[in-house]
Amino acid sequence: MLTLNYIIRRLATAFAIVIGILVLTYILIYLSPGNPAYTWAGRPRGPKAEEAIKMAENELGLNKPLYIQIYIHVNRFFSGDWGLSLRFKQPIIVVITRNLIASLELLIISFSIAVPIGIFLGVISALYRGYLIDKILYLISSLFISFPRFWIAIIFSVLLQSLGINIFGRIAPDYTLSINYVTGSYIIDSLINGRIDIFIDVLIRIIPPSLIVALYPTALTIRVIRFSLSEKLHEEYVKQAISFGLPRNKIVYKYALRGIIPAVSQLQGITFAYSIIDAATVENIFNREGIGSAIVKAIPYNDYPLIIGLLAVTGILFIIINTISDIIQVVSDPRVRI
Amino acid sequence: MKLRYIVLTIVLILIILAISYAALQKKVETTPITSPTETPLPTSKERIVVYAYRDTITGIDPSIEFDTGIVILSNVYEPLLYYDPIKNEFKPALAISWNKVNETAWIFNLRKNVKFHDGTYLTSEAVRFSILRSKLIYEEKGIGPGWIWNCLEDIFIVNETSILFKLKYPVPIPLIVSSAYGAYIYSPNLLRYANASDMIDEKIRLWFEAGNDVGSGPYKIELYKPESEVVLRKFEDWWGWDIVNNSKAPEIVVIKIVEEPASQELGLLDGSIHIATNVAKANINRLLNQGYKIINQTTFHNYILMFNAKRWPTNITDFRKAVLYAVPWNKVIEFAFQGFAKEASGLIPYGYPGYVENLRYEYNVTKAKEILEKLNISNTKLELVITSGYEEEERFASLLKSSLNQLGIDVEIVALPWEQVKEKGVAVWRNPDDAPHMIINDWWPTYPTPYDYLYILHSADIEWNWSGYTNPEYDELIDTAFQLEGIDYDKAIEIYNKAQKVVFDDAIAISIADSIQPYIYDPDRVLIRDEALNPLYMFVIFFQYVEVVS
Amino acid sequence: MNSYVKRYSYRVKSPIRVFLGLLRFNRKFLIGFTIVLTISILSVIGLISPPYYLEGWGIVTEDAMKRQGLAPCIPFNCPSIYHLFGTDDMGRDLLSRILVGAHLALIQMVSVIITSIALGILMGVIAGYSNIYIEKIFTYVMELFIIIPSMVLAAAFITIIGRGMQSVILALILTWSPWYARLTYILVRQLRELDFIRICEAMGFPRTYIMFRHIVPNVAPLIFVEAITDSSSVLVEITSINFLIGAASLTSIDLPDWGMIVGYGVRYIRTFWWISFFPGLFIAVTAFGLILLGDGLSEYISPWLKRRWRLWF
Repeated sequence: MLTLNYIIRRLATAFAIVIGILVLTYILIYLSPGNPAYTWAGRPRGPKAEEAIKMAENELGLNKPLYIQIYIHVNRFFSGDWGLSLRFKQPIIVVITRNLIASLELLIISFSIAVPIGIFLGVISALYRGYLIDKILYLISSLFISFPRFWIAIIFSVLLQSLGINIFGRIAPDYTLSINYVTGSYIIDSLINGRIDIFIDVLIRIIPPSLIVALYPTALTIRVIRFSLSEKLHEEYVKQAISFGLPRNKIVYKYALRGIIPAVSQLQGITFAYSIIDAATVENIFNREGIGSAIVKAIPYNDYPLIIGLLAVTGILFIIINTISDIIQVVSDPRVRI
Repeated sequence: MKLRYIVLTIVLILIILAISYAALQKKVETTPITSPTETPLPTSKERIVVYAYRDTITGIDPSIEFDTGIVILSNVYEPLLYYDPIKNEFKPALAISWNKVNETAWIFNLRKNVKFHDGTYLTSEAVRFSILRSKLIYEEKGIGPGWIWNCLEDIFIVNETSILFKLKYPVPIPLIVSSAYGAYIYSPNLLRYANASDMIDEKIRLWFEAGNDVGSGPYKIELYKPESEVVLRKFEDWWGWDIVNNSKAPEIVVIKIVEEPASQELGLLDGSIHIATNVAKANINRLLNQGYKIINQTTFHNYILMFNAKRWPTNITDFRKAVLYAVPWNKVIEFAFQGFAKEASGLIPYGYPGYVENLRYEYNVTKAKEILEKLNISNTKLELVITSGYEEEERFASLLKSSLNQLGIDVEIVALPWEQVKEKGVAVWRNPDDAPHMIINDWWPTYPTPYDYLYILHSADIEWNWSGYTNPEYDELIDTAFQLEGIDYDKAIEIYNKAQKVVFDDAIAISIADSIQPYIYDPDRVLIRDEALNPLYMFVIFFQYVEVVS
Repeated sequence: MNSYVKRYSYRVKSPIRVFLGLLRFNRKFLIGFTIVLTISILSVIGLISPPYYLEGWGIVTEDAMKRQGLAPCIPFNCPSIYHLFGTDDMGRDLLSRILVGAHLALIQMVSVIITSIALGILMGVIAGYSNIYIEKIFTYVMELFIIIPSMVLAAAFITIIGRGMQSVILALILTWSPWYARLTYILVRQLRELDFIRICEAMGFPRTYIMFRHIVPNVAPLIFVEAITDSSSVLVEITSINFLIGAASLTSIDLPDWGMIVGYGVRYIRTFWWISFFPGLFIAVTAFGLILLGDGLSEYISPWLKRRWRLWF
């Protein structure tokens, strides 16, 4: 039941999880070896080195007990000051925003490809259960889950390269300075600037990676819908609808599918978290920027503020997605009680 | 009733997002900075060159940067002179002539009508400001290449275009002034732009790292994203465009950071990268057959293998010698570097001042086995740290591992990113057991003096001395030679040779090979003139000498 | 009394008969099982005596240097019969490396799955059967850990704990056990409503007794079958993480883990395509076999899914 009570409780849980992620990441960073003050001060040597390190420690607040550090950290986080990246000496927000928007583009396009196709194919697979089409779809979905996405990405990129299609990076270098960057997302910016040729170029470069990232969600959706829809189609109300003489599509899409929306949306919420790994491999191979590759590159460098910021942003993103999926669950199925 | 609540939730979420967006907008501007350069929108069909470099840019503060930032700094800023070590001649940049007044004083005459990127003119004050900042920051905070100015006592301004260097002891100042790091000149107006109070204020550094520049070079920084790409735009008012006579110089230069060799190759084939530096050597033949061209630059870039002098068993000199005897040196060039290197001797590369011939170990497995039997060491495990993505180091490490395997020693090869390799190396001073037994450091020059390559084993250098080697005799040798360079150069070289022999006999560090750096480019897009590459400025392509063909 | 029970009791099939029956009649199970069996045998071979032992573990021998970059042995174009999959750029035989890598992959996968099942069932059962505060804390912690992506956690552990397979395995355990914990939690909540548990509660049995004697045996088979299907995703995840941060996650870059070999071979993809191709193929085939195995088992457990019915509308 979508009551105000439920909404507030859900938002409070989400908020608590954000704080939990912040505390967790801070503890992880606290446990790691190395002295961030040393890197922050620019690795000084010589007579004034001790002083410089002490000053850096004061700045970063490293000489206070742990719970006070966590408290300060959470406070600063919510007031918007995420600090400077140790490695780039630029504000964290700037670094994160440009990576986040790139990843978000990729993930949104992938999921908007994956979910409709997955639902459509899953419904076919459930309706024609046991027939040849079902077997083929089952085979395809199993293959998509078991193929390692990095392997497919490599083969795909070699294939596209030999066909002469340009897929390197996010945008052709000739166009790098041609448009005003308003949002940071090349797709939206090229449309705002009215440059259709850049728009098409960016689109060509984003479709193959998003196809690869979309493999896993599609396959999972097909499997889940195949499993749960076949159960649903045996229930009494479907038989009643059939006996009323309602058209088939209406029964399936309007009545039976409603019942499995909770399971599907919860699945999407969790798959979104998993897809970051796929997105990171794809970004690596096609040389794009993004959150996945930023994390992979930031952690070996011990750039603590950046890591904390990236983890927090990832956490917030997934919490938003999960909360939305939970709300969808509650809206569609009044029996669900979170 | 349901619809109402859905709408309410969506409105709530939108309000929260809007508030947080507005709050974040305010916090982004931490310090009010003004940038003196404008960023107009380029028109169509401008000449663009894309240069793929393989490591992240570590910083672009011209007085503090001591690592990969040189790729950008050499195009945006200029030193007083450039030095060409092959022809052994100086090329005037911001200074057109120089005279030695006496042993400890030199006068430099500056070029007239040189503009900085913000429109102001070059004055002696700018030179004094830049050089003193580099020196002061090193003395105060211990970071950066300011040690090259140790010999400098002060700089006196004679008039608007002449400047006097007062030295503490005689040194060949023109060499130092053309150094690859720490000798760049920029405008003192940045005190105003960065709201800084004096020249060593931290705000200046933050202003630089934010992507601003105020140099005098042929290009200025347009977009600075140090982990993915840096975009440079042609500076029309550069003094040298008439002299260089290159009407096809690129107007926009994109320096893309591409760490994976596979991606560099993909970009090259794609047309997205025009000049590539790090392609898998096995693929080069195929690329050449497809019409790409290659320039093999003989460089002073070498790979130095250092042993940990404080950890067992590499703290035993004979053990180190045994390891070195076990490396098949004749195979190193062809297997590890696949032909893109020259044989090395001692620590200093061929052609550099201080090079000593015949400081090589021979490949003699029986000798190695004898030494190990005598020391009664067998079945140990050694740790070797290399930089990840450097194909040459990986292949050399495999070579080392397989030869040591025959002696019963197991080698663990650890590949880390460059910054982590540095951390591991410096750990030898805090806790020798944290640091690896062997580590490979690739080194390129700052300015032509043997001290540049030899001070990495000095016991006071805790930044680059990754072996923990403390030998007061060696320290004294190279320190006296450094001071002697200006007075009696030949004697200084003699002392340097002696120092290298000490290191050789101690088997603490040795250069594996002098690398030859291949630059693969697309001849249908660019033409690279000879002057664009200079081995003293490693990985720098001077884009004013590059012509865009298509 | 005895005859009454005898008439209404089923003849419980022994596991061996179940297994043989599955093999005979369930095609998915058959194919999946053969694939997994082959890979296991190959991994044992790889552990004990691959064709080129030293090269399999990453050492570049003298002979290897002479045969760098040989192509694989396809019919009509076979450079060397001794190297079925060719050699990599340093000359090491690829087949031996893949065999040695097989046992690494299986060890990692099995340790992750078994530990996370154990932890997950434990946590889920405890949470499902406790008072409301522990439940709330439990759901909170579970959701927290499900949300964190495993790669991030793996990279963080590598920084903290150090290199080695244990960091990756630990990170994956921490990411997967909440998933099983959640599943068990839901199942336990459903089971609690059932009569036989209510009777036990009413009879006053201690909670631990009910948990471990009644609930766990009912929950474990379902979770176990689900885990086998998930193990293919786990395998792909482990190899993906090794591919991305391979150089830092293993003790030595020579270690022939499948993901590592692929990651290393990417830069040679246009000349030595087989270095990246074959390990990936092995990963795909192993994961596919595991999925088929898991699906076959779940069809056995819930047989109504196999029902083939004709849609009459």
